[in-house]
Amino acid sequence: MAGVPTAATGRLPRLAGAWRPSPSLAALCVIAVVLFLWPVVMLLYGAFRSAPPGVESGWTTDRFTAVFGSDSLWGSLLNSVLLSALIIGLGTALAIYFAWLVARTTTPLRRLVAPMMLVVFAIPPLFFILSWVLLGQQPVGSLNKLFQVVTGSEAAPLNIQSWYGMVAVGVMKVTAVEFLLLIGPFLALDSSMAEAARVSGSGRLRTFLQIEVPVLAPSILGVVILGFIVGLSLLDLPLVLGVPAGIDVLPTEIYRYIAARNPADYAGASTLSMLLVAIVLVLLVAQWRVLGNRQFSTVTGRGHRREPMDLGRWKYLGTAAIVLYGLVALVAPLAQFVLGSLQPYAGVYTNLTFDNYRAVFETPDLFNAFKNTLAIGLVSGFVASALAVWISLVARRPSSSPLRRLPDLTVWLLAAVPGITLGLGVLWAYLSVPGLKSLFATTWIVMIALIAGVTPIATRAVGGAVRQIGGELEESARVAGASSLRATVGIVVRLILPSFFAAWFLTFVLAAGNLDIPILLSSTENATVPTVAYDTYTTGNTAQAAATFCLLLASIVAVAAIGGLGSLLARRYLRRPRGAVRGPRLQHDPGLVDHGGGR
Amino acid sequence: MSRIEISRLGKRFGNTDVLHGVDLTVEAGELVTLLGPSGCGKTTTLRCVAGLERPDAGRIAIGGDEMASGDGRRFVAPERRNVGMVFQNYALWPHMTVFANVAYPLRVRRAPRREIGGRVMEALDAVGMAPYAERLVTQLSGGQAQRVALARAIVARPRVLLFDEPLSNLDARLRISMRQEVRAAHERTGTTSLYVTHDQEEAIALSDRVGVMRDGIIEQFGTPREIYERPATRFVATFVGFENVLPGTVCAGRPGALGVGLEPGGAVLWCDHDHSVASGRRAHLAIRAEDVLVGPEGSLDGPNVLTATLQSATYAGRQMEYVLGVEGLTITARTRHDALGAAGVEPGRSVGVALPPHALVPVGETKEDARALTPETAAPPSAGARGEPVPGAR
Repeated sequence: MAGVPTAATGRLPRLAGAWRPSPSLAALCVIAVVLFLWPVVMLLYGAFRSAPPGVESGWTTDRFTAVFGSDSLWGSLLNSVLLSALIIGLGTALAIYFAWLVARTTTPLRRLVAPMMLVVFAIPPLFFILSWVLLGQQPVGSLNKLFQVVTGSEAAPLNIQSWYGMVAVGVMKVTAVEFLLLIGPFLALDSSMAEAARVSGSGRLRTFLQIEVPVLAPSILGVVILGFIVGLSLLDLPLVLGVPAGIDVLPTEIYRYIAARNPADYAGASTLSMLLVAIVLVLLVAQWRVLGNRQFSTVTGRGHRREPMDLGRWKYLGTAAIVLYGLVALVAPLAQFVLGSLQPYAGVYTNLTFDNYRAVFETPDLFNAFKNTLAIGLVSGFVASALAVWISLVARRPSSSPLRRLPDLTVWLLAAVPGITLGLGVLWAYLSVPGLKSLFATTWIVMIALIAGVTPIATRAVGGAVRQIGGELEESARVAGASSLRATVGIVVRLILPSFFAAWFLTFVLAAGNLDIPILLSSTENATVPTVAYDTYTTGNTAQAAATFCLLLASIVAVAAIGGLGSLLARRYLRRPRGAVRGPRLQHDPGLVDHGGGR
Repeated sequence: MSRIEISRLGKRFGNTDVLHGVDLTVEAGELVTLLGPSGCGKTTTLRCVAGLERPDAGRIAIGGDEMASGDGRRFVAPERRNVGMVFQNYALWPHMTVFANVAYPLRVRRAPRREIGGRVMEALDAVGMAPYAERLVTQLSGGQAQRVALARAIVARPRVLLFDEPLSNLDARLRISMRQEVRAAHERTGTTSLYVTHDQEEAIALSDRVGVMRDGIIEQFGTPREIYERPATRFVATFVGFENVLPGTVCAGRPGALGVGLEPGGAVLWCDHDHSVASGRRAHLAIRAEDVLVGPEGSLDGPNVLTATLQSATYAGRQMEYVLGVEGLTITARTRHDALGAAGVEPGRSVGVALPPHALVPVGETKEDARALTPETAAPPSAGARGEPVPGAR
């Protein structure tokens, strides 16, 4: 109470100019508009231009009407929705099952699940998809070969480039993401809710279905909508597994407007992009409405030591599910890629050789792509995470300026822009401004687009930690005599540092493995590993692509190991109290995106 | 109406033994409270009775049916024990209305549909929450939530009611009015109740009998009056609010009284005591601050009068609180403002202090010491009989 009059008198003289943003907020608003809002606006602009970005042109609505009049549009839209729905339905069910096994039961091997999911999540999606192509291709995929060797028949039963292949591979990946999002709420679920049901006379299964799942419903629903958005945005999965089978979805169609037409139809691609963004926006609003109205607070500070359930014989079903998932989502793709990188030619299992690795280091393009990817990933991850911290800090500070919500809002809007459309927006945004044109086909433009692409994720990852730090901590630093800047840097930033590093790693992994953005923006001089891998896959040289990817994966592991070692040393020598503020958590915020929940 | 029998109950979490052989019998229709500081094992004992924890040793029976045996041979799942439980944090299900929460135990027991409505409203009515039946539980205040939780616990007429610190999340005034609700619910349903709390006032105001727990065993079990007025050990005395526990050794005895030599000073104080105790046995003397008499030096007479040095005097509202140095010990006294007359209360002054024999309670350091001081244990009261109200406890 004592502080109130002081604060009031301190602010009174400035009241007249209260709408004026602080320098920090103003700077952030400029960055948000240029980096985040500008490309989205330019996407709209581009839909009505008669020529590609950077070329003199006039206004037109031709492409707009042509795209909406085309027959293929509705088929692709339907495919998109169907693919997302299938992936998310199966993936969520699996993720709930695994999260429940880990959080509530004594299933053997349950401790393996979280690390396994983290690794599956960290593997770049294209790596995963290409690996499954090598495994399940018709007719030469390794699993088909294996089947032929074992049974002696000529049949090749598996065809991964098909509807069921797309769904299966998508489910493997999405399960990991959803699991990481759901495990927090599952672990945080107040165990007395379930205990009250048990004491009321309800059995184990009934308690799970009638109490635990419904109590978690808002979290689950949030994750489902998020997953649906991710599903709609998928480019690499349908591009590699669907297009060869004649299945088109919206993102592949957008890509084809540019890559498969001569001249490239940028206006058409932009029109389609707008449709996709509009659909995602509607879903985001739906998610926001649903969560806004039904936020159950299920986490209480005081929890009893919970007794995990012994499922009896049924627990081996869980173990079997864990093993099976580990085999198809982790062991098989990894083994295939390592093996593939050692093959002299695809499908040849003798004379394994390191030639492909040698080739990576000797082929300037490949080696450059590898260096590029690391640099782009680390830099854009760092910038995005730093921006995320800044945005979260500004968002929590009360300000009467009408601009205070702007950075937050642009990030929120950005989350509705799938990778391929963001790449397109960035093209329009930078090529239409004369001075910025020189950025075209440089590493910088890829980096800028990737920063915009991963900032929403970084914001989710650090936002929780920032919100967890009560204003009292900062206020007590101020009362103790620290300036505003010093209180922010010395107390708040210091406390969210672990979350910052986690967010950096997360965004690094996502940016390095991203195909959707560089596929439009990079040229051969500044290609990244995913684009090179995709190109080599289309030209048939999968072995070198595999070797490049193995190196990238090894680098990710190395970065993780260095980070882990660093935090271990910091903890030991800086005596950081553990558990004060943990890494990114989404327990209450099944919002946009995920993070490595288990760290 | 089922009695709860707990014998030699043991439970370990990892490498720590939380319960070291708890013995407790709750007679049918009785309300027994387990009282103790956090970590003493009271909640674990309760959760073992509910079936939420699996005991590692001992036996639990409800109404003569074995619920759990420590050898793991028998363990009845919580949903088959027919108990009702009220949790500290209410544990209401946020996705259901008040009505649905209370109806849940009936639904899982497959009560006939037409009965459910009436019984739920009856239970809600009993706790004064009937008008809120259609509310979402997230819209309730803490006190309302706990009333609903109480209704949910009693609605299926369980054999046993369990309370896990149900009032500790409520504010002080609400806590006192909710005590009556709990007691009323217990009496109306006529079930056997086990109640866990760390609040001694709550335990004494509410219970037929109280078990004071410490480090995984029950240190003293008795009526609220016994616990409040005749604590058996130093721990229990301190826990129920005896400000002064003076260490000493039994050095004399006569019918109805015991002489205890204080340490380190050696002064002998007499206390009223019905049992003869061998000289040389260790005994502490416990006395409440308000029972200590203070006056100007030489103004007090009777037994157990000592001279003390006034260390501090603090205004404490209706009374003054004096801290006195006596024989190398510190005694706290709470008494009338004018006890020391006009002579003033400056520290360092010599004053007289009297410790009336009827207010001094000999207590043991351990449970075994206490047994030596009071050889025979008091007989349990008849079922349902409540200890008389204790002055000052409410």
